Amino acid sequence: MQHRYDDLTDEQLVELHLSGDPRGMEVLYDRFFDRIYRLAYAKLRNDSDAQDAVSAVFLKLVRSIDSFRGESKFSTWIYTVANNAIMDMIRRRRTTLSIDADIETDDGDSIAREFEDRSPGPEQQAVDEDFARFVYSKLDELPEGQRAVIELRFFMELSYQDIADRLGIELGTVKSRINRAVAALRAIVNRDEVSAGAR
Amino acid sequence: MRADDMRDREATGTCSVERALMYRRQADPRFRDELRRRFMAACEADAARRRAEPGVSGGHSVDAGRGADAGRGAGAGRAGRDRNPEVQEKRVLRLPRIPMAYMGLAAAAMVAIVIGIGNLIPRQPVAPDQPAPIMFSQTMPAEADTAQDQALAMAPAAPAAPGEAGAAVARTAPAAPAAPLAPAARGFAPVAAGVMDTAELVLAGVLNDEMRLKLEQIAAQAGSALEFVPGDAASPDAGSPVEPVAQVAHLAVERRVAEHVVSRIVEELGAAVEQPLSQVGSDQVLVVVRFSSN
Repeated sequence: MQHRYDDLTDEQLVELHLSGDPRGMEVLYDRFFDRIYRLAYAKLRNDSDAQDAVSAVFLKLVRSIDSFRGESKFSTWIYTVANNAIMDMIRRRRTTLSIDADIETDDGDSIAREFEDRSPGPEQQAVDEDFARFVYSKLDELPEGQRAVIELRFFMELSYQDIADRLGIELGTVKSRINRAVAALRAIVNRDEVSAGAR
Repeated sequence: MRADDMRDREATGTCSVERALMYRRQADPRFRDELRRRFMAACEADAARRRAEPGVSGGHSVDAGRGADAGRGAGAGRAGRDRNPEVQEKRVLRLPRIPMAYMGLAAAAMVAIVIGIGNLIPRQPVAPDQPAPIMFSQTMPAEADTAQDQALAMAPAAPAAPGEAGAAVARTAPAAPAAPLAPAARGFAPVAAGVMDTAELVLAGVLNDEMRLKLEQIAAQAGSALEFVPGDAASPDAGSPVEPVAQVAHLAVERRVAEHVVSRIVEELGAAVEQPLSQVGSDQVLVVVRFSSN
């Protein structure tokens, strides 16, 4: 039975739920859980807050499924829902969250050197994770438009065309904007790595 | 990884930042399962509520969902949401829903607009199909004794010849155009619209020659003429024709001298003002003088 639901598009699964059949929602959960968790983790940068955010997103999804009008793809709609929920959480916890505190404790030299080594293993994975969190922490320094394309592409895994539809820009603009966003992020990361090494 | 993504990687080379962005942070499996259970419970409850709603037909199968919208899913959510026929009927014109609070506000605004427009339209005091005023001549008995006489007296008179205009006067007191009407026009400026301003004075006693002479002098000086309307004098012996006694005098004067005429009548004849000059705004003003024997 499940494999038949797997064949349906996101929008068809939503329609089934609206007609009283909730079984397809589990498929949607499996499709989007990892993406939303990744988005939440990138913004909040710790598992506990990411779990709270993802819980809020999925429960909010049930409550606000009526607001999905089918005018956009479900993947872009749920990105909006998730983004709003996560930003609400950040605003509420701004006084208590210390997002960058654990990042500052890492040794910048060690991260760069270990990452260049590219050797697999648990230690490398831990370094990758630290570096990823370090990179995530720099996303806030990007302009809104560049940060959005990175989130849509790398965390929500949307296609270029879907991103173009979501943002209302040309397909070629999406690609160039992603390239510029990654280059800008790389410059920010390099700058901060150098300053951390100088300390 | 997508094919276009792969091509980009080959062209530009994947940098460490991109690898960090593609880092797949995995959630705790226990959290994932626990949230799945809570999420599905919420979905079950929501779906049950929808099934209970009138107009939502349950039993939709996977095939039904597949056939409903095989494209990009545009309108899928809308179609599902508006499955209720009542809602669909309201959205036939694809107009956005208007909250009820705004509907009330819009209705109030419409009423205000209608009233505002209505205020700018002057009301016509005399309808075109209104029957002509009932007339009688001096040869007609003052009181109709029989039903036939009453019928004759109440019959609408034929249009009077020019020469008879002075003899035939309106019986309806004081006169049709001078009937005290409400202001004929509402709006920003007075508009007479066929209505004549009036002032009514009362004189004690029956009209005598002296009074008549003074009134005629005042009228002549005001550039007007007197018009007497006979009253219903009681007949000493019933059955014999009685000459009607004038009990009301009309002076149609220009507005600019109307107040002066009224004050002269009050001063020289000792009349009392029963109704001050109305302010509809007509160019001509009718001064009505009644003679009261009481």
